Amino acid sequence: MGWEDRRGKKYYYRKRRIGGRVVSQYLGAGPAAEAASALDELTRQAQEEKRDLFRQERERQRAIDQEVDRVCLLTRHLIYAALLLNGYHMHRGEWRRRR
Amino acid sequence: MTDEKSIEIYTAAEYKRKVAPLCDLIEKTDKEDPDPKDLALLRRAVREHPVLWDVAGDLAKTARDKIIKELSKSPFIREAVGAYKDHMRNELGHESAPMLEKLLIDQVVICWLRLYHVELLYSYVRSTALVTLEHGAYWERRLSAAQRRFLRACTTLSRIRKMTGRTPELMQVNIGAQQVNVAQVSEE
Repeated sequence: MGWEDRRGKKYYYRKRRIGGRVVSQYLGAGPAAEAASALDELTRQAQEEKRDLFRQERERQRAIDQEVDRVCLLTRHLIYAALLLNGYHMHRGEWRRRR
Repeated sequence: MTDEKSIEIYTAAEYKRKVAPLCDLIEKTDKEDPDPKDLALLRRAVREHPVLWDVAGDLAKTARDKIIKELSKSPFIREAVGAYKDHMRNELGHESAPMLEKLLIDQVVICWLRLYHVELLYSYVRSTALVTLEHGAYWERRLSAAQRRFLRACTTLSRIRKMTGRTPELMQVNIGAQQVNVAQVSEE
């Protein structure tokens, strides 16, 4: 997306990806092109902000999940320890009492 | 213990340092015929380091409080969810349960809270007109992970109860198309 220099004059092209191909749309050089350029810039900024928010949200969710996983992991270790001390052992995914 | 303090004390490195020796011993003794020396060491690790049980309790509390805080800004909703969480713990027999089961009950409650949290967020995201395919897929994955975690916690509690010989009454929990039988402590 941007202004392109053609024979010393600037023209605005809007570029979009359609079906895996980049398609350029010619928008001219006048005030209409300026307006389209400003609009595209605003859209780009809004998308970037949205992406940032999503990144932050993912980071926050990851931190919560990590905390929950940490609790689950420690619980599993303590349960394992208690079962092993009570004469059990894990055999193919199942707890068995030692003979 | 406050949230901040718990988080400060149990940094990833600190946690690893406290738990790693236990993990090693678990690995060594998890066999048909473990070395009695290793078993003795494991016994000592569990008995002489009751701090591990406290760490588990503190981590569980921190995680619970954090999720409730994230759920809503409204103090009323936080209170309501907090009260329901306490009710759930009581229903699962937390008060009269032995130490081992207490941990598992806490785990079930945390996993349920997280599942509820993710479901809320996902339904909010779906209700907004600006949801993209990427967002949708991300929340689907989060939701599946939370469901798996909750089902696993319920199954473990049920198994341990069966193994410890407490007669369970079965209750059914349905999540999506899956059904899991969860042991409930019978009146003794």
